[in-house]
Amino acid sequence: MIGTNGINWVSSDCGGNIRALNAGKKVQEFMFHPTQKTWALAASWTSCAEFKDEPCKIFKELFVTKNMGEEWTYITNYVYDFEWGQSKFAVDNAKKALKIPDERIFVTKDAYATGHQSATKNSTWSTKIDLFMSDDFFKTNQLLITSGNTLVKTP
Amino acid sequence: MFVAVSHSDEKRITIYSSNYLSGFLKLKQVRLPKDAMLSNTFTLMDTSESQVFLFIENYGIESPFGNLYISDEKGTTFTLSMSKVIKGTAVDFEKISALDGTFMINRYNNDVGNSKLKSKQQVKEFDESDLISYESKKSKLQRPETL
Repeated sequence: MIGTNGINWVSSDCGGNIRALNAGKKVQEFMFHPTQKTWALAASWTSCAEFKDEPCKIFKELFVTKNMGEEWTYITNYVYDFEWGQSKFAVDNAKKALKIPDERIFVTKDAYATGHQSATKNSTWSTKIDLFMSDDFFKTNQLLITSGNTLVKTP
Repeated sequence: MFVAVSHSDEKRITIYSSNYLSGFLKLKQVRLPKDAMLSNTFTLMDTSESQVFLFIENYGIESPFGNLYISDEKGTTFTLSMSKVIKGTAVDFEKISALDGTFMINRYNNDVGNSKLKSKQQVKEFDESDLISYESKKSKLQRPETL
C-alpha cells in the first residue's frame, strides 16, 4: 500500500498484519518482481537534508529488496524509468525462449549527470538518457540502446 | 518491451521493440508507415490478442487526434488500423473485456461537419464524432505468443 510522505505499508497475509516498509528513505515508486514475491525495486528522490557538506543535488536513486523491504540495496542513480527483465510469460514458456535471470533489470538513466536531475523528461526527450540492462543490480551493466528514454514492458 | 529513443532534435522519438524470446535484449526499430516513423510520443493501448495496438501522435502534440496502428505477432511491423482517433487526457480506446478481439474507439469523422478541426474545444462541440465498434481482423487467431 502506497502511503503519504513516502511511507509505505506491506502485508504478506492478506492484511492480517501490516508493517511499514523499512526503506530508510521516502519511496515514491515501487515495482514488485513478476515471479519472486519478496523482491521489489523502489525509487526515491534525494532531499537537500542528505547533503550536509556539499551543494544539494536532487536526483532519483534506485534500490532493490529481496526480503519484502526488510533490507534495501542501492543500485544506481539519475534514473528515469526502470523495469524487471523477468516475465511470467517467459517463465511459463521457458522452452521456447532464452532463460532470463531473475536479477535482470532495465534502467533508463543519465550516466553522466552530476547536478539536479530534470524531472520533466517526458515533456522533452533527451539524447543524454540511455537504456541500460544489468543482471547483477549494476555491479556490471550493459548499454542497450543510446538515447533510449523510456520503456514500456510487455508480458 | 517498447522503448522510445530520442531523435537528435530531442522533440521526436523513434520506437524500438523486443520480446521475451531474446530475454528482451534484441531491440529493433519497429516498422511503421513513413508518416509515423518519427513521432512526439506513443501509447501502448493493448497487447492481449497476440498483437499490439499502438497509438501515435503523428499529427503533432497539439492535435486532438492521432493514429492507431496494429502489429504483427512479433510486435515489430505495424500497419494503420484507424486514423484520427480522438485523444484528450487519454486516448478514446476501450477494450471490451467480455468480447475477445473487440475494441471501441472514438474517432473523428471527416464526412460530417467541419473537416478542419484545430482544437480540443472544437472537438467538444463536435458531438457527432463516430463511436466505432472495431472488431479486430485477427481476433479469430489462436493465441500463440504474447510479447
